[in-house]
Amino acid sequence: MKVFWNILFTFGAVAMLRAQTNSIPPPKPRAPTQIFSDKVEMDVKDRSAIYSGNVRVEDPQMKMTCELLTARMITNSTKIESIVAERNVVIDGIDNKGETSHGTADKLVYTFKIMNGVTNETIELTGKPQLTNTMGGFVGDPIKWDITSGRITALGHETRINSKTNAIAPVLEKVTGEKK
Amino acid sequence: MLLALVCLSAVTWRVARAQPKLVSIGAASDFSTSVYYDPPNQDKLLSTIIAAEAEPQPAGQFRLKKLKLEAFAITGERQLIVEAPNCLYDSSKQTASSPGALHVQSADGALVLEGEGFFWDQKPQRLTISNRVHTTISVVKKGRSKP
Repeated sequence: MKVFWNILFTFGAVAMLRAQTNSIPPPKPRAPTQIFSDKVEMDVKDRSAIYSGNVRVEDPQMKMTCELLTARMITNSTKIESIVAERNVVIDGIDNKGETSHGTADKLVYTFKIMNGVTNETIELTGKPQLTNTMGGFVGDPIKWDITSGRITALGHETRINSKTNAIAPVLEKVTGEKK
Repeated sequence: MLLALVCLSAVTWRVARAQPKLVSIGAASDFSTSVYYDPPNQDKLLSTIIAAEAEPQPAGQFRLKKLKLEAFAITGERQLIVEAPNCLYDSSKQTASSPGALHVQSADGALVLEGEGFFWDQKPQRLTISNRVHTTISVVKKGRSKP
């Protein structure tokens, strides 16, 4: 009899768990990323595309403009593996908390990697890069932004702290003496 | 029967090239051409062009209407589908071009490009869109298609 009740309890627990799982609404589909440009040269074999002339990227979390953009996709996928944006790069981002950031540089390199099951997304700004967000501003070359961890590192000369909030995020680091 | 064969021959073009293997069989109302990979993969499809109408032009060129172009990976997976209302196909250079609009889509539908004016080089699988390019990258959908 005890075994019977144990089995019944187990089935009941599984049923409740399933009901709870089913009650979670499915995540909203992510809005697509759009790229506008004057011209594109696609290499299907190489899985790459070179956009040129008035390049504009619009994404739910980022808007960017530049003159030249090279995008490469992961093999057997339409997921972007890397983006290299060049000439007058201007990027405006918004994070999950709704906080905005603004960056400018001559060159921006975005890379996406999955290593040992861990996603790694980074952005590196070079060529007189500047990055400003609600917590302060960075001038350094390069400025490295780990999107996954939120950590920003800048090899450079100047870190400006936001005078209104008088604070700088603990994840922001000014790195000096780092060799390229 | 003989008359039908003669008529069929009259509206059928066949172009054969050494390497890459190009076979083109079509009629005024049904044109298709395929290019294969270089040896040792000469039996694997590189790309195809299908058109609803084909009008022969000088120097091995064809003016195509309702074009559908497909590019394949060496594994046989369809990678890209290009559709355009019209284009000029050069059978000797294996290129297609048009000043008009086109619609490009990846096999899984996650990548879509639109623009005006294009040049397609069949052998190296290179596509250039010259004006007003608009790319949309959506969340990757599961499942891929094979020819």
